[in-house]
Parts: sequence; C-alpha cells; structure tokens
Amino acid sequence: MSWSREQEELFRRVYDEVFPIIVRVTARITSSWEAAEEVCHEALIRYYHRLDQIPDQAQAKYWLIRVSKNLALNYIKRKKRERKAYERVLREPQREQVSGETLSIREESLKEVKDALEQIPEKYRTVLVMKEYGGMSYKEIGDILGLSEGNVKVRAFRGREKLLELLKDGGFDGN
Amino acid sequence: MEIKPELISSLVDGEVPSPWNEKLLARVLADPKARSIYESYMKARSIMAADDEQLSARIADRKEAFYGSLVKSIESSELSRGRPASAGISRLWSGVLRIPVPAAIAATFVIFFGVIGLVGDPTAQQPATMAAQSQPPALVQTGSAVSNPAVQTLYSTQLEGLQITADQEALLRRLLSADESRQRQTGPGIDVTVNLADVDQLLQLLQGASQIREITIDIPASAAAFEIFGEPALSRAGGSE
Repeated sequence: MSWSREQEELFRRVYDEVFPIIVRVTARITSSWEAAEEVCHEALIRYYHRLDQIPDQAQAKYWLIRVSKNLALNYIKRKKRERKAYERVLREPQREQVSGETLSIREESLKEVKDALEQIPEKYRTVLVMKEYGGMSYKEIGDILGLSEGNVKVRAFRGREKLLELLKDGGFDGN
Repeated sequence: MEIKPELISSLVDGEVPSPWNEKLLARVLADPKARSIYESYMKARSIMAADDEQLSARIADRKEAFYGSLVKSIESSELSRGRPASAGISRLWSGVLRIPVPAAIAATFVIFFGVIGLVGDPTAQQPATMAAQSQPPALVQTGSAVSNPAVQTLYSTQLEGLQITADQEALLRRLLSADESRQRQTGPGIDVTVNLADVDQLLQLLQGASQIREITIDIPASAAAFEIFGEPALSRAGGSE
C-alpha cells in the first residue's frame, strides 16, 4: 500500500472509533445493514483518499459522520424514487404487512420503532438517530450538521415527539 | 410552573448539566403530567436501545472482516492507480464517475447494434478485420495514431496522441478487435487513459471492448453542470461527484 505507516495507523484508529458510529447511524437511516455497510465502505474509501487533507482524528470523525450521513440520505432518496417507479409500473402496494403472529412482542416493538423512524421527517430523524444511536452530544451533532446547539435540541425534541406520536398510532403504550 | 416537554427531552438526552439535572428530575417526577411525558420518552428510548443491542453484536462480528475488505479495496484501487499506462497522459476530465459492469455491458450492446445500424451490413467489414488480424504488424503504434485498417474507421481519430508501450499496444489491439474469441483470451486488463473529445467517442471505444471491466471518466472541475441521464441505480458518484 502506498500510504505511510503514520497514515495507516491513523486510518485504523479513525476506523476503530468511527465505524461503530457511522454504521449505526447509516443502518438507522437506510433501515438496512447491507446498505449501511455499502455507505460506510464508500465513506471510508473517500476518507482514505483525503488522508493528507484530514490529518486530525477528531476532524476525520466529524467528516466521516457527515459524509456517511449524506450518502445514507442519498441512498434512501434513490430507493424511494425506484420504489415509486416500480409502483407506477407494477402497481404494487407500498409496504408488505407482516402478521403480528409472526413476531414476538419485542420484535414487534422494534419493528414499530424502525417503521416510525422511517416516517419521521429527515431533519428530525437525522438528529434523533445521531443522538440515540451515535451517542453524540447536541454540540457534536450541531458541529457535524452545521446547526446551533439550540436547533439540535429543538429537532431532537420534535423528532422524539413525532416518534411517540407514530408509535401511539401503532398501538404503542408509552407508559 | 409547568415544565416544558422540550426541557424534559433535553433531560432524557443527558443534556441538562449538573446540578440542574438532579433538581429538574426531582421536579419532573413530582409532577404527574411531566412524569408521564418523561416516562414515555424513556420508554421509547429503551426500545431504541434494545434494538441497538442487536446492532452492537453485529458490529462486533463484522468489524474486522469489514476492515479487511476495506483494505483490500484500497489496495486494488492503489494498484490500478499505479499502473504505468496511466502515467504521463493528460486527462480531459478531473472528476470520477464509475460505470458498473452491467451498465458498461448494456452500453456496449446498445452501441454495437446502433453502430451496426448506422454503418450497414457488419459482414462487409469482416474480411478487413480478419486481414488485419492475420497481419499483426498492420496495427502500428506510430506515436500519434493506431492504424489498424479495420479499427481505423471507428477509432483512428480518438486514439491520436495515445502513448502506449508495445505490450499495451498489442493488448489494446486485441481489445479493439472484432474477434470475440481472441478478446476472451486476454489476461487481466491494462489501465489505458484515452484523451477522448466527446462521449460518442467513448461509446465507440466501448463498442469494440467487451473486456473493459470498469470505466473511469475524469470530468474537469470547470464542468460544473454535470447531469446523469438514465437509470440512477446503474451509476454511482465518485469522490468528486
């Protein structure tokens, strides 16, 4: 490999720190592990090509989270377009309904959360996912998304409210 | 005074600093309405956390294997970048667009039949092609052009200025040959950069090169307005979109 030992070590350190975060966030955004891996792969390859430009580990972390988040959002937009095109042609129903009997109560709850997350507006979902699955603070999320802490706080709150609203519609008992 | 749900949300997120968080939590738990909101937020959070447990296990399982595949990709991209054929040839475009194999194959077929339709009866060219193959020296790398008579009709102008070694020239000749059986005998491809004037010429090149596995198009930074037409699933943006 043509990179220096320092670069290789930096890449590995960044990978160890960031991969669990970006794969969590992108898996939640795309609702697919396979898609999340593809997105993370693309983001990390891009990072490799910019190792010279991003020598700092903290910067690399923010950069990778931002890029992988954008790639994941692009992925779901593309999927939506494809689904619409298929629906137009094949007139298939929007989503296959899974019988409640095939799922345990816990699995059902998880599926409800997943479905509800998919329906939350993108700007709220991204913040909520970064908070819940990325374990980031409001400040970190704000730095990555270019938002103020106050804005992140409002989006996290609205995202959570929206999530609860959707879960209650699906029979979720919040208490 | 009523506690705003927004504040409760911040409390749940651990964003209320100490010692205010303890005081606020005590107030929230003492107020039935605020407590109900707090508990619903915590419940939603615990369900999300439960979901995350499954994901954590998967991440732990896949982390090393994923890193291995990542390093492999980097190594292979480095190898292809380091090939000598690419060096020293000026590039028309500076962005990167990767065309996946299915798209390249589809484009090859479309252009192949399109060119057949335009040129006329393809069998009319066969004697010329065969004649060219029976006389390998007919394809001479002159430093500025490739002069295989069978290929010349399609490729003579766009290959002007291409500087390649004798080995690469031989492989390129096979790539551009109309003889399918010979194309399949060739080994791993070389990395050739061709200074093409337009997309039509690229498609013409594709038409004669079924062995091309991946095409990288460099787009100049000045070409700000670049739009991809066709099936988006078949195209993937590269580093500089």
